[in-house]
Amino acid sequence: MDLIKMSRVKEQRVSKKTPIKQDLDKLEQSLELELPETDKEIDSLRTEELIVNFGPQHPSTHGVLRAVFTLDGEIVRKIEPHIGYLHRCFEKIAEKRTYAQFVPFTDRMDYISAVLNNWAYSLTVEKLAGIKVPERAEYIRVIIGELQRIAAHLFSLGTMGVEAGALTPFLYFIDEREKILWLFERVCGARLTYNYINIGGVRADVPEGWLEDALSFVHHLKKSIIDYDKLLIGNYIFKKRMVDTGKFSAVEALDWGLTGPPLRSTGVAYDVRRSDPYSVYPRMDFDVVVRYNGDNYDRVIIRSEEIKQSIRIVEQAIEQIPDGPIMAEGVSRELVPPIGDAYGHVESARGDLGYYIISDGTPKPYRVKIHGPSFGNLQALPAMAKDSYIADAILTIGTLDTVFGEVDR
Amino acid sequence: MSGEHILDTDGHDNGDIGGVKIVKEDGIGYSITVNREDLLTAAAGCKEAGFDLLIFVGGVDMPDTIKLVYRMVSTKKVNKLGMIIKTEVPKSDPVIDSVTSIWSSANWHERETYDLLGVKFKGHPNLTRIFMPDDWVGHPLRKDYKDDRMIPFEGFTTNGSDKNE
Repeated sequence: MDLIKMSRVKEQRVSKKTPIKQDLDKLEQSLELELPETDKEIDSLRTEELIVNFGPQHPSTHGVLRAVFTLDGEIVRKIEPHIGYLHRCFEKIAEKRTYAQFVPFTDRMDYISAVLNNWAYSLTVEKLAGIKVPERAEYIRVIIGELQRIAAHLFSLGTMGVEAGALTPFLYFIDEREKILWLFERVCGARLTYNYINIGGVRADVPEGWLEDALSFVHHLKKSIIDYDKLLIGNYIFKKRMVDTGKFSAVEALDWGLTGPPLRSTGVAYDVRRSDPYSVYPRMDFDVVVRYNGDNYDRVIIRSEEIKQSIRIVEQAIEQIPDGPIMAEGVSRELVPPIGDAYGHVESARGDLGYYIISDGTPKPYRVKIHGPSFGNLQALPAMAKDSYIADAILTIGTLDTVFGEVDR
Repeated sequence: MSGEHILDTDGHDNGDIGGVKIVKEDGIGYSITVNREDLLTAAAGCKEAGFDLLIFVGGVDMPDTIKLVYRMVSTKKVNKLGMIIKTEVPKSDPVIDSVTSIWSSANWHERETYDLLGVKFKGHPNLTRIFMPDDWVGHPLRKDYKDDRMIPFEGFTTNGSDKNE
């Protein structure tokens, strides 16, 4: 704000006919360029299209995205993403493991929000085998899952700022995320790949005093997120960079199969927690955040608003959590679900995360089909960033918030 | 097309899309099973009935056939109903119509199914491998897939020891 004021004062000073102003006018006249007037002359200035290889190792590719940009000057005419650098074929690995043994692999999919992957897989296997999860475990899942969503959104907000050149907010967001990782470390001992939500419940009960600490953390975040909003989203330069770039309409978004925050930023209120409720979400009071402009700025704001809704859910879940067992009875490590298929999905931090599992009546799954939301969202990038400036295309990659462990699987 | 009214009922008899009965299965919700010749008609019927968001296309290597699964969601209604189309292609002739003309998002999902299972999608704009390198031989998710670099692996036993040792 001060900078803007200062520059205005400077302008006023210069506008008076000071010696400096006179010199500047003279300089301008001497430098005046001869601008082309006819279309023919403009055409003669065109340069040929340039093909640039972007990635796979570059800070703004968020992992290992390689894309071939066809540029006309500064404007991107075509983007061809080339993915598969992190492909490990987890779907094949799953066919050689028992149901319980595959849980740690799901952590390595979307490693920024690993718990939500555990949850989606466990939920589907529970559907397949007809296991009923105890109430306390469901509440712990909701608390951990929402804290994980907050951590993932904080991380993505930080990196979105870096994309636009704002390095400072990143440190604040990472600092808050660190506090969530400490909470997770106390619950399951891990900081990134948790393997915490297992088939039938959760692996361990939360330690004594943990729920109080989690509650005091969300109370703290509730206050500080307002400051962070001012720091990043309210920033004049950040807004200038983000508003009206990478715009997508609802019709295009549905056609290209976007889910999660990018879809909701175009005005489509599709959230799995509400549309196909699982766990104890029907008892929670929260809003599905929707924005209508569908540009990069809306995709940033929507994540900040979702953090606030997640805080509401955590508060309610901690208030309502009952005592009781944390693991369903009779779930052995040699789980053999009946022959059949099941589809289960959850709302991950990036969108609709689904598993389709087929059982042939043996301890190992016949087929595990994983749908990672990042895969569907990244697909829309060429259509979304077409005919924008190359710097705005980088922002669009950032606000889509893809995680390449999940794209390549 | 009478697919609209399934959005309001919760029974087992839920109308039809393009003459195919909609069933409600326990694990997966609403689904229809069609022949491969009828896939495009069924997909167009689903889109007309309000299923405007294609979530994924997946394939399964069954003993004689390759089963294809199309999951879609209707965002038009408040309850955001989901639906699965199931179809099968024989392994001897794994060809099926592409649904990219109906949902653009089918593009990468069909490329993935081609790459890992070898199903050819007729009318796809760019049917190339997506995860594996372009010169890769074979389709890794087939049950009979083998290559020289593969280590024979029977999987772990449930008590944690490795069968291969």
